[in-house]
Amino acid sequence: MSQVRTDTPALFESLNARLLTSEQVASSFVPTPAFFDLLKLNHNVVIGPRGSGKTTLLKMLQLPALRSWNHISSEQVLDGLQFVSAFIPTDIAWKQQWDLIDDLPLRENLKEQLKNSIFASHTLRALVESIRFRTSDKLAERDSLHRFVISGNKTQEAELCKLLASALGTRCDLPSLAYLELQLRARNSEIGEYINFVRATDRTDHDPPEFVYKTMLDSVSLVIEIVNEFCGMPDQKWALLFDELELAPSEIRKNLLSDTRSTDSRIVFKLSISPYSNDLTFTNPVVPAADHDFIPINLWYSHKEEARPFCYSLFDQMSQSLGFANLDPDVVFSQSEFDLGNSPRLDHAAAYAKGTPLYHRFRKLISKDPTFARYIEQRKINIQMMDKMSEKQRASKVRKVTNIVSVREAWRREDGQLGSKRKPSLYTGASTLFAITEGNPRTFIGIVGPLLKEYAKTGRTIKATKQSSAILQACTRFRSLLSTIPASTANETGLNHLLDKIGSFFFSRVVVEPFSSDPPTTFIVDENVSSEVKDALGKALNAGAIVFMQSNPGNPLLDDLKGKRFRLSYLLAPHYKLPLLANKSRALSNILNQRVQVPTTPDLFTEYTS
Amino acid sequence: MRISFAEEFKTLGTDTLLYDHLVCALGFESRCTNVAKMLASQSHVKTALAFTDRNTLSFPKNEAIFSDLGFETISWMDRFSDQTIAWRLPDPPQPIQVAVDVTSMTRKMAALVLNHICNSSEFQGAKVTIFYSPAKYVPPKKVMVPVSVVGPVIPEYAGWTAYPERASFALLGLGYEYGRAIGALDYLDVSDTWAFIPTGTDPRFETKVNQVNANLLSVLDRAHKFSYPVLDPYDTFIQMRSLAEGLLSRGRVIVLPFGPKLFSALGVILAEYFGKEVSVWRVSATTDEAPADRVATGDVTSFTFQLDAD
Repeated sequence: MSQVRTDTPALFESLNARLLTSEQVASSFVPTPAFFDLLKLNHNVVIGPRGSGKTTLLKMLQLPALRSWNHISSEQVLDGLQFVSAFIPTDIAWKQQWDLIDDLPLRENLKEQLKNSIFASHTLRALVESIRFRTSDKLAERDSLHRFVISGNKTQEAELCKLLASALGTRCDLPSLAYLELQLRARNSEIGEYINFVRATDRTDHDPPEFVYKTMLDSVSLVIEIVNEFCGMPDQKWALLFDELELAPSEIRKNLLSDTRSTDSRIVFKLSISPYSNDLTFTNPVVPAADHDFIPINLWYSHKEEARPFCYSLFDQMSQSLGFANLDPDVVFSQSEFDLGNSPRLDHAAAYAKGTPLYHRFRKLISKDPTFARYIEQRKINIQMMDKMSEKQRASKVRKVTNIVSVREAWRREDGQLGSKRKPSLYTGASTLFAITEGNPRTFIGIVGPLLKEYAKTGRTIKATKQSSAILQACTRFRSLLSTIPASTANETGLNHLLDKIGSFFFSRVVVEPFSSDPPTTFIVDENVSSEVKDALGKALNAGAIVFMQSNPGNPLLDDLKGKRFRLSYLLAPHYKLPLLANKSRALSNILNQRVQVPTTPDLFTEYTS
Repeated sequence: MRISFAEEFKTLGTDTLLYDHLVCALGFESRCTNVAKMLASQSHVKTALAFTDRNTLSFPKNEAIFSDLGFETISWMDRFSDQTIAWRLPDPPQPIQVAVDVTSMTRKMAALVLNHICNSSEFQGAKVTIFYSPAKYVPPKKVMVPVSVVGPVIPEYAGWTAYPERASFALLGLGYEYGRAIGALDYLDVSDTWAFIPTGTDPRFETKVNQVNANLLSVLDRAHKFSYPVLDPYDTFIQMRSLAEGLLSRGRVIVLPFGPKLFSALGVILAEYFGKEVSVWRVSATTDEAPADRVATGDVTSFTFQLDAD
């Protein structure tokens, strides 16, 4: 049985696939439709915000991961595998190395060449690493992958190494793949030395190493050709898995996307990237197009209902790893208040009967909020008889406002002021918890994992207060991350400032202003939004703080946000005290121009100690 | 240039009879004159790097004090050149004894100064003492201040790795800036973290640091948390060095210094000691964050190392 981490994770382990070995990723991997799409012989671009599972998917395509993978569908997958992969990661710390090059007093094209060369060396090294694995005994242990084994004695391996070294222009003092890998690493050191020399001396007349001018794709094609011929498999396909391309230099991103039009049929590109990148232009017909040159794979969900199957599936896997079979999430977390009267699993009518929690919510809000009382009166709703209404009437007049009523009632006091007398349990319960995670594996495991483990220990339903604390902690941690992402918008700095304005506006419409059955909870980036704000929104999108409401098939990779519709992540709903709804939209420039009260937040220093 | 440390250097500091060159920062904090007053009479050449764009709070008073103490004031606008702290008198001493007071320096300034000292031929064989004057406790701000800069403290400490696929590990100096540490760690997506919690003579600091970082500390293993006495930087450095030595065999090390500037200076020395696989980052808030005076406790701590010629 695949083991899924559910213990309180060390802060940076297991929640991020980049930090795990291929074998560790495989130990808990649950295949999704996206994974099966990636197994096809197409160029793919996997698109999603942080934590959406891009790295996990790419890592799972590698032979070391597949070799270790034990799942009900693993043998079928391995039998049908059509390519061998090389995984090329990127991270922010490494990105800084490239950024150093921009400050050098060199010609622009040389700077670009240096960056390309760093990336090329890294790619070739990863390719050699994957070749090495194919020669290892480990791969041979898995029968269904035997066809990918490169077999041969030491002499033959030496011969292969000499051929590769010659093709790449590296030294071959020791004819081994390990030594070849080392030589490719050494190239990066040479580039580093060259950069240090230029920075220290300001001399631009000194030539960089010759290999800087080699083209990555040409070198990769050459390596593949040599290895395929060596194995007697001239048509063997290879997949280059480029991860986190939002961190790569712009030129490299564009080049890789262009490479999806490569004529080398032996290579497929599987790229992962965040949704927004303002330097990629898709309106130009010469630029690679989605569904033509590459198949996009989305890893986010515009609507919470779309995320539900994945969340339930992941929950299943996690609970099975703790020894449970068919554990009902409602047993662990109870039903959500937002589901009352709305869930397909509950009796709708009965949830509205007199004396039920929903009835009391309606009753309390009527007494606190004259504008809601007027709504009830105008629609001739008798709250004593809501359960006796026809389903059609109840749906149009009552059920559609239930979530708004719940939030509004929770945050309005009897004295007409805003605030809650008690800690609301609104954002608890299985389906709400799942919706808050946005189907983001990292967020899901981070929130649900520890709670599930506690359930396993005690056998008791997790209390609402505990769930609230966990969600609040996750939300606060997320906002800490958002505050770290540098972003300037006009007179203010920081993503949280921008999101606060949007969140406050929606809060005002939902809770503060006269009752509306359909308050706006999404926004459209109109033409009056500045480029600074759009840029900040792009960062928010890539971080997962806002969600693209893609209404029709089109390129999910965004180079321009104008005209696009978004909502705030449900992970931020508890902070901004909003319902988990994607209602009608308002133009963003209108939102930003309005002055609204920012909702009070809990004392920042006590929210953990309660 | 190689760096060496020796136990006997630990006792150096204000006992040293003479510093050839004393470098301080002239800013708006009243504590920025503390070390200057202590060492001025023991120092031959004295340079004050002045934040002339922040002429507020105690700046005018500090400026007068530095002038009375015989400091040459150089306006600092985030620019540094080989001439900024060059020896301007005839017959430069060999080896030179340098004192650098990082108390009121920005992390960037301290990094530039130390980088120059560690890599300039003028300072070959120098004995370098870093001084730090802790501040009295003030309560932290209860607000998550947005960040304007996150990246290597200076390009020279960006690191350069031949193993970009390897894990990265953070040596995190904690402060009590709300949400900053955990946000930075999530931003960097490091593999693992070792947190250094500053302790001083006022227990309120440690209490607040633990409270503000509760979210982070609750998920770190006990073995990943160290208390470091601000007044004992030598032992702190030894701990950092030992940790980095072990981690470098597995990946890259990133020093993320929040809290006392001293930790940032130690991070820079660590990067100089180990070279390119250790980087030092800074996470800085918006420049319009209101300046606040920090008053010295009166304690002074120091840390000395020797530069050897290659």
